[in-house]
Amino acid sequence: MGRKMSTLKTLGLLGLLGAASAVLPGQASGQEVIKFGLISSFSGAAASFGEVEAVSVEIAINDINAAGGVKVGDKTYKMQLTKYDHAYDPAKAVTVARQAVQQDGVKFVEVLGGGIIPAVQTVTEPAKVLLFGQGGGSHWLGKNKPFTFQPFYSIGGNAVAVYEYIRQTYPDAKKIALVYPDDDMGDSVASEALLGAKEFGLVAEKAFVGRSMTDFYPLFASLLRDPPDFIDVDGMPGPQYAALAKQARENGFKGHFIFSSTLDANAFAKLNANDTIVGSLVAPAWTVWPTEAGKRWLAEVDRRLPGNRQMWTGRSYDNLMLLKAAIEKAGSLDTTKVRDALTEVTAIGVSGSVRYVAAPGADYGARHLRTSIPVGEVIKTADGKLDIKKVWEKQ
Amino acid sequence: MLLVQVVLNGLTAGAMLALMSIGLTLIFGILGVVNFVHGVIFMLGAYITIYFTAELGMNYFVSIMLACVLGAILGVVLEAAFFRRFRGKVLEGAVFAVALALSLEALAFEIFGGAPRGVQTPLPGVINVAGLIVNKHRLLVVAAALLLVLGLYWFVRSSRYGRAMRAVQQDAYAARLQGIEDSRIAVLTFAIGAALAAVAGGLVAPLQLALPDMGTTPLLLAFVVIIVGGMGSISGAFWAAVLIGLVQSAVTTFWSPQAVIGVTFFIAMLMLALRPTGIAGHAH
Repeated sequence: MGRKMSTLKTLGLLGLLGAASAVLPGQASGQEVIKFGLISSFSGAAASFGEVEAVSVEIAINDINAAGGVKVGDKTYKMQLTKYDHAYDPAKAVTVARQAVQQDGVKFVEVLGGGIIPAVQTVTEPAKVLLFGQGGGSHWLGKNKPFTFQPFYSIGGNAVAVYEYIRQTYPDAKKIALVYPDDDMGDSVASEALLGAKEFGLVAEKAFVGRSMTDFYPLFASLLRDPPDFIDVDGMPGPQYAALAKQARENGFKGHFIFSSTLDANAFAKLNANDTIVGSLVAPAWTVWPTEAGKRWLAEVDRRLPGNRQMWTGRSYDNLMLLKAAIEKAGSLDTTKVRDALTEVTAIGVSGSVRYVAAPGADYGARHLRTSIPVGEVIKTADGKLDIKKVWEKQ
Repeated sequence: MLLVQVVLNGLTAGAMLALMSIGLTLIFGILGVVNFVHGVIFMLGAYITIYFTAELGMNYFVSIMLACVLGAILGVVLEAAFFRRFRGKVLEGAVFAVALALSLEALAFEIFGGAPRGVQTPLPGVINVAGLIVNKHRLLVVAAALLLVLGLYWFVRSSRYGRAMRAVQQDAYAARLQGIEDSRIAVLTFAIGAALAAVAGGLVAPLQLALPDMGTTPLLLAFVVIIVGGMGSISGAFWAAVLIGLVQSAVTTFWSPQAVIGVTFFIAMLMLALRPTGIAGHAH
């Protein structure tokens, strides 16, 4: 009886273990995975960014896995994406970052939002998790943040490219109003933009607005006393700057807008405000990608998100190609080795051959995914939709 | 001229605040319930209006009426199913309301998604008189706010049910002894308060894109308004909304948009410190 019970218990335990391994999350049998966490805004005012960003990351991961995955030594890994919603709230971002890093064991994360990244870094840097920041500003990069990279372009740098174009094309332009989010990202971008405006002989007046602000009439009562030639709106979510642009026109603003971060054409369409920004300037004004991967990316984005091609999300794709190359070069998933390899590898992304480079004057090494900056003008197509026409390129 | 524009901007902003606040102060004043779900109902009012107008092609004003009715029904459900249990327990009721609001907001994200939605106003454009600019839809909001405030004030002051509400507010037990069913009054109060929140959402919908968390900031400001105006006072809420709207307009125009929230809450703090009952409120 005793031996029978013991055998039964053993069989029972084995059965439980088998059931548990089927229930517990993990790899398909025999398949190792590299977890990639996307900490972005899937709700809240910036939800339109997160949705599109996720699609680009998914396309990249699908391409990587379809091409055989990531080779580390004699093992092959599939990449696996997990999404975490921070709703553009730094407190929520810390919570989900902890979940990703401490509970789910994620070692590579992409984070949306220059105002969010510093909060997430409090979790990722001590844990040596590689963070790829899709956010503006450079305040979250530095020697004391060795595991952070910036695939996103410099919003301030884009703004300065536009100012250079303005100086060449609008010789009578004198004044720019900088209307930025009231957070450290907005402050960081403003610092760079102010220097650029000065360099090109433009007087800049700045105003910082809360991300929840929807009534801009009082702001324009002030700004339009001495009307600027351009209003630069950067780092705000699309619904907010669409409302701002519409209200600017209602208050009599005759100049143009500058979008040196993103252009959420959908937001303008939903607010019936397409006409408000025709003639405005956009940077970077990517309209097509030159590579085969880029063409596939465009087709897939158009299929999944018709009319909502946010080209900045191509940086997410390019970053993942570099990450794959870096892991393979490092021959390891050790994030310190991968980090070092990231500064050495190149890859073919949607925008062409990409690599991480050092910013001029920066003391923290190659952390920026830099490319040339195309400047475009917003046009209206025959069917009333908005499009961008490239007018210049800053090398 | 600039000063006149600032006053105009402040009045329109105040009207929007008043719309959001009068329902909230009614519920608190009559029932002693801190209704943190008010912001969610405001948001649902916007979505309902957008759905009926933009998706189904109905007339905008009819859509708002529907939002009003559905908001009222939601208010009845909330009172009967939840808030009734917390009568007399202000703190517990408030904590529950916060939890319920967050849950409903999360559910709204699941149902509506995070992409913003919009609806066109039936009154597009602005009126420009000698350089003074007023958005036509905002004028509609001002007119609606005046109508609703006056209507609610009259209802509470002069109607049979309004007198019953005030009786319950003063002493629910004594009101019961007089034959007033306080549970029925509670349902009516919630229905009216929720209907007003839904109408506010519907009226604001054409001015901004709707998102599931769009009710959070207006709710915070509405609490400031009812603190300054006096919790439970409809006229106090109205005048406080006008005051806060004017202050916000002036601070943004003459100082900085960054200072607006700080100044607004400073006014609330000052009122609590110096006159806790607010402009026109009474101790609860």
